[in-house]
Amino acid sequence: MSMLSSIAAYLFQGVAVIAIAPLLLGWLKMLKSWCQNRSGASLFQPYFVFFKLFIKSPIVAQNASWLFRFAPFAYAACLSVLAFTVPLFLYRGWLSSYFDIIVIVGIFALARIIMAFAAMDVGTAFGSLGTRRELFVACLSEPVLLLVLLNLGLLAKGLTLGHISLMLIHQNALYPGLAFSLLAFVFVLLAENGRFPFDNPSTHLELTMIHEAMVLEYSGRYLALIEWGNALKLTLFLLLFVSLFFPYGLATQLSWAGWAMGLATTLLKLFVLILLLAFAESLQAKIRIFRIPDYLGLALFLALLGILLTQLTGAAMS
Amino acid sequence: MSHWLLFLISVMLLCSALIVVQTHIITVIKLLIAQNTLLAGYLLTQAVRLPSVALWVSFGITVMVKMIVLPWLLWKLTRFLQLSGRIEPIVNKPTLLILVTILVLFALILGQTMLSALPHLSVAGFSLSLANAFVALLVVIVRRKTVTQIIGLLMLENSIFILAAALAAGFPWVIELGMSFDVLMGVMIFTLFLMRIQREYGSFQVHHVEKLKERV
Amino acid sequence: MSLIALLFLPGVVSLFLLPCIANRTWASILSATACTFSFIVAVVLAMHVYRQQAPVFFFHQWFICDKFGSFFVLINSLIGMTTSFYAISYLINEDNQHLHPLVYRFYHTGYQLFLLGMLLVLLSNNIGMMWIAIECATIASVALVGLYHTKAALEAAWKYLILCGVGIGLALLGTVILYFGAYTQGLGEHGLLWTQLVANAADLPPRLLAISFVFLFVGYGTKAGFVPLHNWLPDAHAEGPAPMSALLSGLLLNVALFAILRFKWMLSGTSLHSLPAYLLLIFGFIGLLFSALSLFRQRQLKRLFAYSSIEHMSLVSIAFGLGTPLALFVALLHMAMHSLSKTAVFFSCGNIMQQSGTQTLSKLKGLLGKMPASATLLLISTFIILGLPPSGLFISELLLILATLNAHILLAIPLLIGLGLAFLAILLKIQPLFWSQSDNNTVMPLKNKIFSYWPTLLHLIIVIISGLAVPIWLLNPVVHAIVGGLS
Repeated sequence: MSMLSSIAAYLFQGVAVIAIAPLLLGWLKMLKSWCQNRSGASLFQPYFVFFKLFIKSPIVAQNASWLFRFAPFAYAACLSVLAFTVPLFLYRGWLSSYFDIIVIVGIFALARIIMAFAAMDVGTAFGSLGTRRELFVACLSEPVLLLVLLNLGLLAKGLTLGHISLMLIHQNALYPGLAFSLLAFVFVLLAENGRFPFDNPSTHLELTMIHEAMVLEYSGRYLALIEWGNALKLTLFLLLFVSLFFPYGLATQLSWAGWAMGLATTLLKLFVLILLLAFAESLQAKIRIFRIPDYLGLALFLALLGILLTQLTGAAMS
Repeated sequence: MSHWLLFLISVMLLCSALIVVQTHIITVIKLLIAQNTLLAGYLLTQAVRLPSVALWVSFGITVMVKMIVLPWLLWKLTRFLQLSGRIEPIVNKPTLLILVTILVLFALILGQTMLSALPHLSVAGFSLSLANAFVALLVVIVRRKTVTQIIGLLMLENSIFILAAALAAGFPWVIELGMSFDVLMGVMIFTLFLMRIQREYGSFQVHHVEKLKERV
Repeated sequence: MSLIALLFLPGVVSLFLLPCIANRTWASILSATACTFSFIVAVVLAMHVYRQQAPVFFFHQWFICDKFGSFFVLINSLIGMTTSFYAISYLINEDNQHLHPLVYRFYHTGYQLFLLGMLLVLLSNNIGMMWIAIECATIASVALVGLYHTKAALEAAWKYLILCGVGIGLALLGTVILYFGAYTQGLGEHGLLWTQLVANAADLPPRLLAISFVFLFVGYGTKAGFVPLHNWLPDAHAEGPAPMSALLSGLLLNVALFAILRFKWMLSGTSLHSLPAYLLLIFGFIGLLFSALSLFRQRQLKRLFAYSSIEHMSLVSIAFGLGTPLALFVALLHMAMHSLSKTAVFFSCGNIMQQSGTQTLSKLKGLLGKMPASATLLLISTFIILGLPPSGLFISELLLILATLNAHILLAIPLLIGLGLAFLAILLKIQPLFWSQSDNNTVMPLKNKIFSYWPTLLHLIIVIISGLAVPIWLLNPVVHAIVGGLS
C-alpha cells in the first residue's frame, strides 16, 4: 500500500479513538444498569448528552480568568493528541514513534495540572478540595504508571509503545513480571479515571468527590469538552492496557484484512474489559480516602516487584 | 521447565504477596483457594500432556485435598468462628511490602549464586518458589490472629510443592500422598484446637496464647 | 520375612485395633504387648546388624538399618516399651481428675502412631519419607500434649504446632532443594535415597548443599530444641501427661538430632564437611549457656526438667560438633543415658504430681516424709541426671570434657561453666522438695503402683550399671561405622 494510505490509516485510527470514546462510556453505563437489574439508557446516550451540552451557552463566574475558559480546550487537546499514539487496529499510533512512554505520562500530567489550576481559579471551596484530592491520588498513581511502563520498556528494550507491542506480538511469551505489572496497572487505571473503589463517578455528594469536584463550576460546551475528555481518558487507558499486555491480533502489516482483524480483536478486547470493569464496579464499595495510600502503595510495590522479577529472571527468556 | 510454568509460579507469588497485606480473612482464604486452583491447573496440564497413572493420582490427590477438603474446612471454621473481623498485621502495610520486596530480592539473589551451572529457566523457577516460601514464613510471623498462621503454613507447603513439581518432575506419588495426608491431619488438628481456643478464651488473638512464660 | 517389616508389624496392627477397643484396661495391655513385641524384634534386629558388615535394606532400599540406626532403634523400643507399661498405672490414676473416658482410646492410638513415626524416621533411607514420618510423629504428639482441657495445655499444644510446623516446613524446603540438586545431577528419582546421596554428594554443587543443609538444620533443629527456636519445648514437655513428657524429652529430641546427623554424614565427604560441625558447636554452646541460666528461673517441676533436656541436647550437639572418635563415643553414650534417665525422672515427676496434685516447686515440700517411695525414686533419678557418680551421665560428661580439652582447650571453659551452672541450678531447685517441712498434708494414694515403679527402677539400674561398666561393645561398632564412613 502506498505511503498516503498508511498516513490516512493512522489519521483514521486517531479520529476513531476520539469518536468511540463516548460509545464505550455508554456501554459501561448500560452494563452497570443491567447489573442493577434495570434497563439503562441507550448505548448512544452520551453522544446525545454531549450534543445537548454543546449547544448550550456556558455560564462563567465573574471572577474567572482566561485560564478558566482556556482549560477545557487544553484538556481535550492534550488527550486528543494522545489518541494518536495508542493503537486501535494497527500495532502503533501515528505519533508513537515520536512520543515515548515518558512523554505520554507527561501529557496526562499536563492535562491534569491544567484542570487543577482551572478548578482553583474561581476560588470556591469545592474547587480546591477537589484539586487537593485529585493531586493526592495523582502523586501516588503516577510513579506506579511510570514503573509499569518502564518494566515493559525494559523488556522490549525500547521506550515507545510501538516497540513494546511489536515485541510482545512477536515473542508470544509470558514473562514472569507481567502479572505483577498488570495488577498494578489495573489499580492505576481505576485510580486515574475515578472509578470504584477510589471514587464514585456518578456521585452527587460533593464531600465525597475527587475528580467531579474539580469540574463543578463548568457548564455548557466547556462541560461537554471536559466530559468527552474524561471518556477519552478511560478509552486511552483501556487501549494502553490492550497494547501493553494483550496486543495479539493488532495489524503489523498494511493490508485491509489485517486492519479488519485488528479492529475486530480490539473491539472484542474493549468489550471484555468494560464487562470486567462493570462487574468490578458493581461488586465493590468506595473506600475511604485515607485508605487510598494503602491500595496505591500496594500497587507501587507490585510494580516494583514486577521490575525486579523481569530483570532478574527475564534474562532467561531471551 | 517451560515459560508457562514460570509465569504460573510468578502468579502464585503474586497471590502470596497479596495475602500478606490483606485486612479481611475472607479475602485471604479466597486468595489461598486461588493459589490451590493454579496448582491444580498445572497438575492437570501435566497429566494431560504426558498421561501416566502417577500423575493422575497426584492430580486427584491435590484436587481432593487442596481444592475441596481444605477450603471447606477453612470455610466452616470461618463461619463457626464468626470471623467477619479484620486482621491487622503487627507492622503497618508499607513496611510489610518493603519486607516482601526484600525477601523476593534475597531469594532471587540466592538462586542466582547457587545454581549457575543450570539452565536459566530452572534457576528462575527455583528462585521464585523460594521467594514464595519466604513470603509464607513472613505471613506466619506478622499476624495477630491464629487462623492466618496456619494459612501461612499452607502457603509454605504450596510453594514447596510447586518447587518439587516444577523442577524435579515431582516427588514419587507415594511421598506426595504422605505429604498431603500429613498436611490434612495438621489442618484438622489445628481446627480442633481453634475450636477449643474459641471455647476457652472466646477469641483468637495470639496474645491470649502467650501467657506461659517465666515471671522473673 | 524381613526383620524390618516385622518391627513395624506390632505398631501398625495396634494402630488399627486400638481405636476399636473400648475397655480401658484391654487397650493399655494391648499397647504394652505391642511395644514388648517390638522391643524383642528390635533386639534381634540389632544383633543381626551388629554381626554383619553391610546394613540391612528393605522395600526398594527405602528402609535401611545400619549400626547407627539400630542403636537408636534399640533405645527407642526399650523406652517405648517401659513407657507403655508406666502408662498403665498413670492413666488409671488420672481418671478422677482431668481426662474424659473417651480420651483413653485416643491416647493409645496417638501413642502408637507417635512411636511408629519415630521408628520410621530411624529406619528410613528415603529423605522424603523421613520428613513425612517426622511430621506424623509431631502431629501425633501435638494431639497428645493438648490432651488435658486446661488453658495451659492448649497454649502449649498450640505453640508446639505452629513453631514445629514452621520448622518442619523449612526442613521440607531443605529436602526439596537437596532432591532437586540430586535429580538434576542425573540421579533421578533415586535422588531421594540417602545412600545414593552419600555416594554422590561430592558431585553436587557445594552452595546448593550448603543452603539445603542450613534449611534442614534450622528445620529439624527446631524440633531438637536448639536455642533460639526452643520456645515450644518447655511448655510442651511440661503440660502434657507424664508419659508424653518422657517420650518427648527422651526420644523425640534424639530422633530430630538423628535426622540432622544423617545429613551431616552425607556432607562429610564433600568440601563442606566443616559446616555442620561449626553449626552444631555454635548452637550447642548457645543452648548450653542459655538453658543453664534459664534453669535458675524455673518454678515448676516438669519445666525445670524440660530445660534440663535442652541442656543435655546441647551437650550432645557439642560432642557431635567436635567430631573426634572419642567425642562421637561420648555423644552416643550421652544420648542413650540421657534418654533413660530423663524418662525415669519424668516418670517419678508424674507420680509425685498425681499424688500431690500440683507442679509448682514452692508448694511441693517434705516429700520424703509424705510419699517415701515416689520421692526416693525422684531423688535417685535427679542425682543420676545431675551427673553424680556412679551414673552413666557422669562418665559421659567427664569424657566430654576430656574430648573438648583434646580438641580445643578454650572450648572447655564455656563447657565447664555451663555444666556447673546447670548442676547448681537443678540442685538448688530440687533440694527443698525433699527435706523441708510442709503444712499441706493431702496426699492422694496411687493405684497399680507396681507398674509405675518398675520402669523407673529398670532405667535407673541400666544407667547405673552403664556408669560402672561402660558398654563399649555396644557403642564402638557404631563409632567405627561412622568414622569408617568418613574416611
